[in-house]
Amino acid sequence: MADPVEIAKESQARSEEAGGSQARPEEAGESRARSEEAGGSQARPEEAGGSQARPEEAKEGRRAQPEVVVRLEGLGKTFVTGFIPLGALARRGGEGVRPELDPKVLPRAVEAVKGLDLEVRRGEIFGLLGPNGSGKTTTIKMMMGLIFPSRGSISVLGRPVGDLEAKRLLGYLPENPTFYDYLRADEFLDLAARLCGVGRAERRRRIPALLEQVGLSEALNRPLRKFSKGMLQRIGLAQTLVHDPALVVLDEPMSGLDPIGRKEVRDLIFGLRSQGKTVLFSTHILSDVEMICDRVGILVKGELRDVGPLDALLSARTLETEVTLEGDAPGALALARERGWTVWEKGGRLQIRLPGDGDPRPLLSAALEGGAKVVSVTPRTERLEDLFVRQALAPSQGPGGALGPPKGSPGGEEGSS
Amino acid sequence: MDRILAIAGNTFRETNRNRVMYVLLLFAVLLILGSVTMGKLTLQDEARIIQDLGLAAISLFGVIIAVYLGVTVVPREIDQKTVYFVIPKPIRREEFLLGKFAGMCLTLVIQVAVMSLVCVLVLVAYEGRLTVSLAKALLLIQAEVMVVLSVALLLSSLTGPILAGFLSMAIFLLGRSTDFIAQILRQKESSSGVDALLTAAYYVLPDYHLFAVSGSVEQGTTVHNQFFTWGYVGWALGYAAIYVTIMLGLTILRFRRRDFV
Repeated sequence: MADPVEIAKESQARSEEAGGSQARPEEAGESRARSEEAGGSQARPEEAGGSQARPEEAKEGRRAQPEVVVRLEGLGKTFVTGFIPLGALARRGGEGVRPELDPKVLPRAVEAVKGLDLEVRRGEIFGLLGPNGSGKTTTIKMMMGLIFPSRGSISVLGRPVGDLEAKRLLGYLPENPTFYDYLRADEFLDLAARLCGVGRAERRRRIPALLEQVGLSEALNRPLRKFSKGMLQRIGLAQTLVHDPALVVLDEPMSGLDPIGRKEVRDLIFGLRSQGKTVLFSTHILSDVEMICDRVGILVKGELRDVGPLDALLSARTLETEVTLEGDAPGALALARERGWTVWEKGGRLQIRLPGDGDPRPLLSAALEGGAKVVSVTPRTERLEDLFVRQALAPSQGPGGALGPPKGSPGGEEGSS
Repeated sequence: MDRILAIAGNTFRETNRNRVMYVLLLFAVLLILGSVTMGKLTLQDEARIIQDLGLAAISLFGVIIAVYLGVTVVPREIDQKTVYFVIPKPIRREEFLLGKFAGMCLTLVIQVAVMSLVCVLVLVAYEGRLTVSLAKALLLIQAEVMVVLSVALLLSSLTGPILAGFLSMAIFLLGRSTDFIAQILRQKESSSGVDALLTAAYYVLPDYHLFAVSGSVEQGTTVHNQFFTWGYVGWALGYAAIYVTIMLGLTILRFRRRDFV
């Protein structure tokens, strides 16, 4: 691996360059601000307070200097469909990367990934997030050497894609995996380990332990044909780990699993990090990400909309304040109607939602004067779901898009007065 | 090297656990045994008929098995997404393909060997003696099915399995007729477009006629007397090796740049 200092310098230069070339000044400005913040600066320019505790920063500080395990630079993929392989005609030989294919020239070209810049650092859990069809799997497949990029470059563990040394340190679980269904579980893991250059004695020692770890010891002699979906996912996880990789890439590891299975996968991912491994996984299940990721990248329509520690991405600004009252409060009700706030009546309780940073004090005093009881005042800050919806719905806009907060999303942190 | 062997071993295991192979083998064996009845019905030399029919059956079923393997095994890896498992492993794409080919070859060699054994046993039971030319003929069949396999593999990397299968069989039939093509070319001495096409076909198509041994094993009965020299067998094997290498090279070129979407 290259010197971390060099990497840091390089990445700084590149992020500035990327900011310039993407031709969206406001986005570039913001993303730079964000990356500064990820690097340890305290204040977020657009926030007033700026002094909130950020557990991520403490974590970042404890860890050794960031080494980049995966680096994507300007990565793009254009799929060319149709009978005449125009893509093949436009291909440049021997380079490993195809030249830019202009979707305007090729009518049947689909641009699946558009100029992705991304870094995954050593020892972190990175979540690649995005709605269906946003290019997550295509990006991962390009990293795995299954799909060739149309433009841009990828380095995995400091080496180009396809390098055998890098592949030896790589574990990959495909989306909805299917494996050789005529093999038994132990035969399959033996094949996986052998392909990774694990010696016979080591294989004999490791495979039963691994089957035990993923809870498949009883299915040892069963052919994979007879495995359920959850069992396939487990054996898939086992094959990604059989050669003790440094980087584990999981494409939708939780899909098709029941809640217990999901928890087990989460625990497993945590366990991998504590062993010093780097984990990159893709998902559209937000709760997974919220619980386990150090950093996330949000991919929408092939563009990386946002990347950074989750706390930094979520706006700390209050989206709305929810006031719950009990008893008669005609004054408060009138005030709410007058201001156009949302009012819900539920089981004798009145729920009033104040958008944005609206000051609840006039409402509270009106309620108290009327003799009502204030049950709770809950300011709701942005959660991942809101961010995700905001990014997914925004047209090709910069991070922190201009759309307002989504209306009517339920629940929030509980706070009472 | 161990990686190629691992893939080859796994491919061999895959084809061995495929029931279609056993059905084909069963038909071949039945046909070889049936040649005894055919032998009895003829007025001519019975052993010769049994031998000819047996060799024809081995060749035919060897070719069918080769085409079947060539057009299904690698596309199945891609269709069933098992290639997502293999390619990210520390193995080169060409090593993967060579491993697949080696595994299929091993299966094919064993299948042809089993059919050959049945044929030999029938002949021994019937006549009590074996000729060296039979061994040569069986060797040539082994070489022929390898070439068929490599052609099917290349075609399957260019088009779907069904079309690739039909094309492989068509090429097999044309390739068996190379002497006929040569004859046409000799008779007409004009240089029309058809001639050019035929000439091209003559040189590009695999010359399966080289390996066509049925009917020529018995000395003096056909024009193929040259089959009886080891030199000829060596030349045919060398030709097969070169043709297989070219087909594999082209398949690898195609496979190396392919997107597995």
